[in-house]
Amino acid sequence: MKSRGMLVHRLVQVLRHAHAARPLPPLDSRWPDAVMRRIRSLPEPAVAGGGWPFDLLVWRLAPATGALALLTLAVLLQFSLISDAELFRLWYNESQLLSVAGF
Amino acid sequence: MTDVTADRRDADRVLAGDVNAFANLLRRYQAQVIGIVRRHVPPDRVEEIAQDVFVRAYRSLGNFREGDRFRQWLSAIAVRTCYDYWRRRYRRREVAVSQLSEAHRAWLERVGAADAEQAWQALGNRAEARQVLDWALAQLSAEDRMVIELVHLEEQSVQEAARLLGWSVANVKVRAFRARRKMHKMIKERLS
Repeated sequence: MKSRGMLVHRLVQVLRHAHAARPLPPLDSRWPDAVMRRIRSLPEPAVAGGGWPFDLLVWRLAPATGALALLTLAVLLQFSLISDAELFRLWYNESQLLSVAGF
Repeated sequence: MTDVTADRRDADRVLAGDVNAFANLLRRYQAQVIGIVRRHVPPDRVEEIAQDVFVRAYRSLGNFREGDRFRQWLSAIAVRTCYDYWRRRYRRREVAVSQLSEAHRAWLERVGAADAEQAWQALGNRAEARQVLDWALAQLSAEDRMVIELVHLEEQSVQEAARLLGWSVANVKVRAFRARRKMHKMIKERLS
């Protein structure tokens, strides 16, 4: 009695043969002409500059930019222009004024 | 003139505005591209996807750098185009998972009984083999499908698969492991 693991291993081997033996469909002899017709209808390819392509540069810099943004946010929160106590005092004074005015 | 030199010359001519020089690249590499594409997409889509590969190569020709090998550069484009094809199909939920028939079950039993390498090859050449393979692959994601095909079915190295797909080696390793486990589980369930 063969183990199931061995059967799976054998099946994978057989599927490997099946993958390699996928049939090549008959190609239309005019296929290269069709490709070239489509190519000719396209705009000329752009010549890349010496540096990195812009989109690649954006993705490369994205983690550093994100980290910098978080750091800046943390610093801004730490050194808030107006302290919590002062903010509370302003709010308290304002609510006092409103109650005096009868609102 | 070697192919490498000829490729560079033709690519430069295309970039200089001579579109017809692309026909030389097409002639030199159409068999290679079709050879890759036929292993990854259904037979009725091979012509269309292979055409897309050359269109993509033409559009990106400016990124083909000095010292790159056109053959390797183009094979990465071919694999990524096939991957994009499956991503589109999965996104539109066009990948139907068919049920295995009695003929497939009988074929699976014959695989279980076959002992010799020659018998495996003969069984692998049968239509049932491809249908069982397609059934198993249809149950995977586009990413897992590409990794299984490249790493486990074509036995390419993880590094090569990572280069072809444009992924990190770690990503391919993790996916290859998980996808293989998933596929083995599926097959085991079917065999039981």
